[in-house]
Amino acid sequence: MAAPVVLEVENLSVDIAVPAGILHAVSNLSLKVRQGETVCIVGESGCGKSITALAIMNLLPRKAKLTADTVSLEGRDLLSIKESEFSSLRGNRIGMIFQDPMTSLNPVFRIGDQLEEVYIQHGKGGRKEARERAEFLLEKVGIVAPTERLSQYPHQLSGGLRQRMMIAMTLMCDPALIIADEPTTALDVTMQAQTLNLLRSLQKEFNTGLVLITHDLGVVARMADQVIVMYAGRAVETGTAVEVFEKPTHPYTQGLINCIPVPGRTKPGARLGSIRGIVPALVGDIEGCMFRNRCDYVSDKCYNGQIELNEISNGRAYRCLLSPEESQRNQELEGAA
Amino acid sequence: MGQKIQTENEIPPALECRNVGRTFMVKRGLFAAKQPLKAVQGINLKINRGDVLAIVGESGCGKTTLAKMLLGLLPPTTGEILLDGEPINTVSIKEIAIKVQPVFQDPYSSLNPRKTIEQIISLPLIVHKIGTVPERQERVEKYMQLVGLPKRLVHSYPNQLSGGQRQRVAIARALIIEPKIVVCDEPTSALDVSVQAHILNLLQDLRKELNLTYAFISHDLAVVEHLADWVAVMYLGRLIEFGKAADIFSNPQHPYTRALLDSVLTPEPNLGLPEITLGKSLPNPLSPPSGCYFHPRCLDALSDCSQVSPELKDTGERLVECHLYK
Repeated sequence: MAAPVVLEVENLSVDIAVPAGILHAVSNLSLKVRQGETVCIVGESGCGKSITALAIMNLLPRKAKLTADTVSLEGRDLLSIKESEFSSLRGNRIGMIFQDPMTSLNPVFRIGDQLEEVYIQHGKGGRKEARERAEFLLEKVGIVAPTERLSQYPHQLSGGLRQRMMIAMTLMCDPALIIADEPTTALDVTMQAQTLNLLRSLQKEFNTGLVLITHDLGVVARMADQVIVMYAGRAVETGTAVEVFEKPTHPYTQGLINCIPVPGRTKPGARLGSIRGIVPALVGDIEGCMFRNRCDYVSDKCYNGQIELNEISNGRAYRCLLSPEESQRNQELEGAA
Repeated sequence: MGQKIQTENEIPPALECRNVGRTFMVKRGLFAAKQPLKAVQGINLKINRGDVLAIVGESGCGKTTLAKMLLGLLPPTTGEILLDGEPINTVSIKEIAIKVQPVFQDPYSSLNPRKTIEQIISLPLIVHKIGTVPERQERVEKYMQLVGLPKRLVHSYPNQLSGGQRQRVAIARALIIEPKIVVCDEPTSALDVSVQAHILNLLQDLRKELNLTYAFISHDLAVVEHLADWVAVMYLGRLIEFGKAADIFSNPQHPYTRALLDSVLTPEPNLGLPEITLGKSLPNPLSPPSGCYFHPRCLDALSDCSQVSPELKDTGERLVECHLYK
């Protein structure tokens, strides 16, 4: 675990001005990604996971205001650098893979030109080297006949192939960090497993840090080294994948895990666990626990003050007033019910 | 085919497909002649009243085309579909609609944004001229309660509702004329996991309460395992495996079914990622492979598989279309 830190974020907050006031999209989020490590950010829609990705990439909409103690990539402070310097980092040191490969590739350019552009734009070499690099990476992502594929247009490829192209494109400049926002959501199940396998093996081979953003708990469990569960703009639980899935401590994480049918574990036809209520509005000043209105273990204390992340051990933390033992007991009772 | 998969009772199955196929004529290029695209072919299925049939497969395998045919929105080009033993191609779409109702994937686009919830849910009653205005209102309230929508939302518009609430509206609209069969096309894939659990629980409750039959289309096999009694696996328009859900999940026979099941990512962190060796993407349905449609991707393919089309073998318990299945 002593690999060098690639990305360090401390107390990142994103506030967006909306007609009703200030919307706290992300509040005090910290994360650390090491070389070759996968950090998964998991949460439901509107929890701020995609905004976090955009904030790291400095791609936030103009209305959004970012504050943070630290955002650094390979030790370089990203908060103070100019936009022009940032654009020399994006695609170069930080790569990004989006959900829908059809909309993130330009339909009127050949795949090869799009891959090579990244390489040439960042001054890595000329067209010939770029072509060689592209062919090398296409072979790496398991595409047969790369030379022919490079002269094709995005619409000539299937969804799975397009996503492989996106992975190859992100790797063109050998980035230190890849941010993947729901990279397999648009793919079929069989393609999903293959694409994730590919991402995993390439990440290990190139020793790249990976921030994987998803709502799919199955993907998180199988891919993550570290997990951050987000709810209403905050991290509510962090830990390794094994810790979070085997001993979920925050009532929200427990609820999520009980919600999904698991072949072999949940009984077919049995009632699934569920979380009542809906996500609270994030506008205005918020006191107390964000999850209190949906929580089964709510008490008076949950309504006041700021609930801090309660650190159990290094990297393992949860944002709840219950003690780990209490919430463990709750989870066991819930599981037995 | 499929004759043995039926309980002994004499009641006709709620839904039956006999050799159902649908061919589209598509044009590739401006001056090219139209070519046939067999979106669905040779489907034989039966579902009894109160059962849940899940149709699974990759995108482009024809599951939505099949759903449209079940709903009477698309006439089959071959074969026939029977509802309670009566063929549907002889009756008008309005009569089909009384028996079969849909719930679609995306509750954001399947509800008219300019109509109130009451107007949306009561529309089937108006179309079929059922009841007077007060009776309709009463029935809307009853069904809103049934699907767990608070009464105060009756005059709201869809944009004031959350995704889960919208899907409840879609379900209430489908149920209000008391159909026998509900065709659910990926009803939870646009929803968050916590909301998905609510909707799945609701579908289960309604099924028991109203003795509904579901044709459930999904690519999420965990959901299918949870909900379905019968599973039909489709590949490139063909039914390649059909059987009881419990049997299929515990003992898949077709190599494609096995690959599908292997690729389910359950939240078990110690298992790591499955090695899916299923190569390439779906072949072009305009020029399907010779022999078994699945052979280019099949690891167990024999030399015969590329030449001879396998027959759908029926062992009474299971239908499997594979040379290896004995």
